Amino acid sequence: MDDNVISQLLGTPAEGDYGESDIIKMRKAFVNEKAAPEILDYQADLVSRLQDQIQNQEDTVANADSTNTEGSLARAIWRLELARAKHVLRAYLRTRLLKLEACCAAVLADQGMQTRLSQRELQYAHDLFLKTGEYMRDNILKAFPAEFQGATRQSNVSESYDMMTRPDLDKHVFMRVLEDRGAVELDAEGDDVVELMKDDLYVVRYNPIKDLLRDDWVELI
Amino acid sequence: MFGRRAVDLVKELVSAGPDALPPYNDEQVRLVIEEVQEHAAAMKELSRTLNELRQQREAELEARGEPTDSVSFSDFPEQSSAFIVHHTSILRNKRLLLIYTKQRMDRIKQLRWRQRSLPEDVQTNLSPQEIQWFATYSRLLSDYMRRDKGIGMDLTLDPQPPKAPDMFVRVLQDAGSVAFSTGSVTLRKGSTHFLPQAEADHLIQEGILAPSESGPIEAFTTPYERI
Repeated sequence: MDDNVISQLLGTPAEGDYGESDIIKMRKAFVNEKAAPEILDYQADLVSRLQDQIQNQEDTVANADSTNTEGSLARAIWRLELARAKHVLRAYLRTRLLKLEACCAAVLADQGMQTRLSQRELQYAHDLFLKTGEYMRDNILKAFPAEFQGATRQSNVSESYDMMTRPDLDKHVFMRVLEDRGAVELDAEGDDVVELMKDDLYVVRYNPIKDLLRDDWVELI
Repeated sequence: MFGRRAVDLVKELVSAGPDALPPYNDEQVRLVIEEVQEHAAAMKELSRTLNELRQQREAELEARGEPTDSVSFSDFPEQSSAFIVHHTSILRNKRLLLIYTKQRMDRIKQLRWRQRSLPEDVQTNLSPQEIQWFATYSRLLSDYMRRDKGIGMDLTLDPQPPKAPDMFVRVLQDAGSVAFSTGSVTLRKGSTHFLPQAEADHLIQEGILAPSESGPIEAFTTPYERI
């Protein structure tokens, strides 16, 4: 069976009819999220679109006629595609949640980081921080002298939150350039400039390229 | 040596392996906290002595008619350095104790991602507070994943990308009749079934099913292959 028949059978437009499908976008979002040291912007539209599509597809599969051979083949392919779509979506949300858990105090102390979370993730970070703090206080810290009881400061004389895990923005990441971008400075002094051309691969520190990533000039791999 | 007990506590956890949960060392934690309280008492004593010494010195200077604002704690190096050592020891003990607790909390959290309830053998190694913590975390995570208020997806399922929508599974424990989207199946120990992976996943987590590489047909052919 050639590709045309398959796409006819599946009722999906062949590749190239319209840009990338949401599931591919989701997969890219997931890979970016997995590779970046900090939490990236929450893809609210993409997630809800994909959730709708999954719901629709589930109904289609449930109502599909699988009595003949062609019908049951199409159904088998749909089901696998559905399982993959669900997996990517779950993996995306799971990766975000685990990253959030690792630096939840730092997220709550930083307004900028909070805007990148979904409402539910923010709520989760809040609750988790409170519960973790409570546990630490009740089991360990309350036995300490008053000036050492803080859960985010070593002692009262600490000037900042010196007991907080922050994402390491200087971590190195692998990236691919999506569009010709031209010269980009990789450090503040401007003596490390690279020419970013489409399809180039780099290993760079995350911090200088985080704006490029947000504006879709590059993707992480 | 100051801080030795707390280091031992963390070492004990590290040497048990990356995911293991050895028994909660209640006694050692208590001893470390006692050590901290001794340090705190010593600090209090020292700060009293230091203040007295400073007042004495100030009084002496005043009697001689000299300015008193130049007197600082660094004029009494013996007491000041003792004070700093005690302070640093408390910080060190605090850090180590929190590492011990946090590590254990993280390992308990990981258990929730793998299975819904605590296995018996792990439970005996936890302190009552830690069992409570598992329940707390479990509730948090379930609330986030709930159908009505949360995202409506169980994130603990399929950690690996699916290869096929259905899979062969072998039944490890009798579980009676279970309804799947493909129909109702009676799970009897030792039997093999072909089930939707998404629905079999949580039964695998609970240890009722095990993924089976070969389906029933291949299982039949193995004796001949051996000959």
